[in-house]
Amino acid sequence: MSQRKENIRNFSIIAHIDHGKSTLADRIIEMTGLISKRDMSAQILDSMDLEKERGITIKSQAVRMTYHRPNGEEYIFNLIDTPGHVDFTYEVSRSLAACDGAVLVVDAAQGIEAQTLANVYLALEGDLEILPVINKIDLPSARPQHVKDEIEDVIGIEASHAPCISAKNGINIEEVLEKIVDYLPPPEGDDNKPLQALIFDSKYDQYKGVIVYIRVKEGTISLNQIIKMMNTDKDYQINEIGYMKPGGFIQSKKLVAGEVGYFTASIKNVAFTRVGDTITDALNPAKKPLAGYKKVTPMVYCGIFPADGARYNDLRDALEKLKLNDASLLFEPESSIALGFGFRCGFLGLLHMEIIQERLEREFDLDLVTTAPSVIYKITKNDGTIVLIDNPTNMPKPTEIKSMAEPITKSAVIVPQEFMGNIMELCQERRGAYVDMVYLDDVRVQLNYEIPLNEIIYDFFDALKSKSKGYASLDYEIKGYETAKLVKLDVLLNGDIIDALSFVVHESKAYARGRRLVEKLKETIPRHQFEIPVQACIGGKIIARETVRAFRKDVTSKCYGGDISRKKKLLQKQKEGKKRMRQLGSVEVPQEAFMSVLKLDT
Amino acid sequence: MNKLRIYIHIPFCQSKCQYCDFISYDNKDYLIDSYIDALIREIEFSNTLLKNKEITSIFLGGGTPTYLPAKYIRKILNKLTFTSKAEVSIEINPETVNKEKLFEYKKMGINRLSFGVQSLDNKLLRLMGRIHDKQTAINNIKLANELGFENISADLIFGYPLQTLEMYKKTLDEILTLPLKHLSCYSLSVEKNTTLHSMINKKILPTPNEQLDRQMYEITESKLLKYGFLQYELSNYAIKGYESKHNIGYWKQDEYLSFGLGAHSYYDQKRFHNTYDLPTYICTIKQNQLPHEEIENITLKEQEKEFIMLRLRLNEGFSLDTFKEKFSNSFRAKYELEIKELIEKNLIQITSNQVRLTTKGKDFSNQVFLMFF
Repeated sequence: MSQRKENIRNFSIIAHIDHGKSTLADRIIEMTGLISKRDMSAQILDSMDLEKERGITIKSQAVRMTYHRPNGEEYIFNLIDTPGHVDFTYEVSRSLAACDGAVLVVDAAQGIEAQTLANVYLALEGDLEILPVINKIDLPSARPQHVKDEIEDVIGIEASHAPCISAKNGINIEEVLEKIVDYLPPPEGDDNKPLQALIFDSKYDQYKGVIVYIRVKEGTISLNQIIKMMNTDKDYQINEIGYMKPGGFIQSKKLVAGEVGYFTASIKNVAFTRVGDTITDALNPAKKPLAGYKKVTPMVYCGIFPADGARYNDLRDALEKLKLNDASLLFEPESSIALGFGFRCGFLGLLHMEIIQERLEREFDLDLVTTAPSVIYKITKNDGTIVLIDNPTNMPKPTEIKSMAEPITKSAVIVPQEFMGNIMELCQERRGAYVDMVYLDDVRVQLNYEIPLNEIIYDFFDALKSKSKGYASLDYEIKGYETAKLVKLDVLLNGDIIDALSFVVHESKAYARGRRLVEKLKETIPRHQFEIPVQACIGGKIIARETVRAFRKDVTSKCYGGDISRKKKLLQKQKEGKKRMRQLGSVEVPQEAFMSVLKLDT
Repeated sequence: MNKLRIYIHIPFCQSKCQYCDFISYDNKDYLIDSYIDALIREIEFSNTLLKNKEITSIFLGGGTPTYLPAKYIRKILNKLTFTSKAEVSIEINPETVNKEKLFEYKKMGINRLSFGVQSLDNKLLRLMGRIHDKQTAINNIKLANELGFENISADLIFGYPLQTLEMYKKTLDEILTLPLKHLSCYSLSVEKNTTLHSMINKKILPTPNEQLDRQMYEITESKLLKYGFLQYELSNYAIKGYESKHNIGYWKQDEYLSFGLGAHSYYDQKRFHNTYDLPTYICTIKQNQLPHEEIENITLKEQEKEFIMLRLRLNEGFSLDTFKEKFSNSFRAKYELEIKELIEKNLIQITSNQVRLTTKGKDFSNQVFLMFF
């Protein structure tokens, strides 16, 4: 029989970037006494450096806390953190599926912003109760009543009872805790039913194997139980189970319906513990898995090469380490004439790609050269065979190609009406096909387009942001493949094709992109002692050309007043610039040049 | 007794030139008195460093040292002990001297004059923001010679926006008729934070043409050679025996101690410089402290880098033996690959034990030095 677990609250905090999500999480953790303020480094939930710096959460985690009400009652709070970006929409939806309610943090000065909405809609879709909280009321520009009205008008949820707080200064946090108890519902479930537990995250630990984070929906999961992943069909025996506190684990014997916790079972690889999968008892399985599971597949590919070719093995080791914790990262060896040996890597989206690149550079101290991102093209050859290409270098000759198809997305852009014109123009430019538009309220409109993924990976987010003053938000899913007139554009430097600079582009945009690219390369390639022609070509036909003029002198003619140090510093700077160059034949190309293909429209 | 060279910086000018990024001010005359006081106290504080040293050259540079009344220069030189064998130079803006001043200089022991002529084309001089004209420059050089100054040098700039090859040739032809023993001909570097830089950025003036610049460099050497001036450094030419001892000191890593705002020293295997901020300079010294900053220990490894970079500026380059003696290492063995590449690219040559820049190497000397950094 299903019971209400009256003393448990499972919730997430959702917010637009910088509205104070992590700070509020810190205060809640402090107030429930898990950790003293003094011992706490700011923003506990975001444990990766990168997350701290970007102020976004990449991997979700959960914390269990005990809240003692002033009236003496005791409550268990499970705070489940969510990743905050479009690439991770699916992960966000699974984290939210592990909750029964959500705390919506809105900045009292800024009001509702684009990113807030996407997550609020996900929460509403998951039938979560939402408790609005107005943060930063200590700011002089705070307008709490106005923001409350806005929440009611735009999102359509009751906001009159919303606590007005300052997470930073610890004002009114108590009220938030009380309202979590009063307004967010307790979980429901039957401890005796066949087990159904949702995986909302997993993490590789070198001692314990994979740590799987779960929310038990029905039944009981206990130590030594034989369990099964319903979608990947793998079975394991549980060898540790319990729940999480900040920075550690507390072991227990079992978790019952409504509880949030973790287990380990000597699992070697996060690929077997997919987010969204359902865990059941292998010997007494549930009839069907929980709804909502999706196998996540990489949509964006790019080449990653070590700047210093000798560090190829280091790069491989680093990718393998990251892969332990990131089932969605794919990589396989690749070689390029221009860049030597490296890896072709697959990512969920552009942010995922950027994060992996940054982690490789920071955590593993690697200098990388990356190539332009690509999607997977379906190519039908003249003889009828179909090939899938995620790397322009492997493209068959134009004469062998009968037709090409590219992935198309169903994209939804939510934007304030004042920027609607700009965004429609942008979608049109990016070969988007208009589907329809939905007025969400007096202010916001949702534009639905079908846009080729190949256009979205070219700087689309940046363009969206700049054309909407940061307000537009995007969500997309792959609809399928459609035939298109695509061509491969090559770049020649000093007469030689630079394979790492090739990319696939729609015929109608090839000329403009080619022109822009050679202009950019002309700016990024330093002058040499000889002239360097920079050409863009399609199937051997030159469509654009620029020349990097030769430099005729590189001399410091005056060493003034014995200032030798200055001259040395200048040479040192020049030397460091040179180190970051790639030698392609007789031409030295800076690493930025390989990235310049990414930003051709801005 | 160990030898020592002295540099003295005077950071004041009547008017700042368009291309100038040196430390000098044309709007702080109210600080001149306190500056000279500070400078003199700085020399006094440094007495221990000057003890047991023979001063072999003194260079008064700027800014414009001759912008100041001669009595200030006298006050400074009075603080230093040197013989008539020492080379004592002063930088001169032709507009700021006259017979009396030059005569004073002679009396106080200055024996080398370096005239900042830059060009003998009046239009170009105005474009550069120089305060003098062609005739003043010519007259004052002649006057100095008549007053008994024998060792006179002039500075020229080439590769300036709008400067034509003809203009430059004419300047060279005319300047070579004057009683000079030394010429410094500098290829223009457009430095950030100069008026010139911003004018080029705003496209008010064209970007300097490097091809033309190199043509001017070539004709400098050939024209000067006809008059007996031999190139001895990337930008310097002299009648034999009149090379600037002071500047050669920089290129041969001699020790030098410098006084004044932002002045750089190399002493006891350390490089350091004075603060670049004028009020700070004056205040620090008032508080009986030396305004030294960024003291860098020059290790043997660093000395070697500097050796290559500085010696190769000289036409004579350096000998493999000297290198071995100083750094107990064979230059050829240590830099085998670098040498091979530089010789293949025709940037350096090694003949009869001497390493030198080639003609092409002089155009790309930074590319050469980089190989050893």
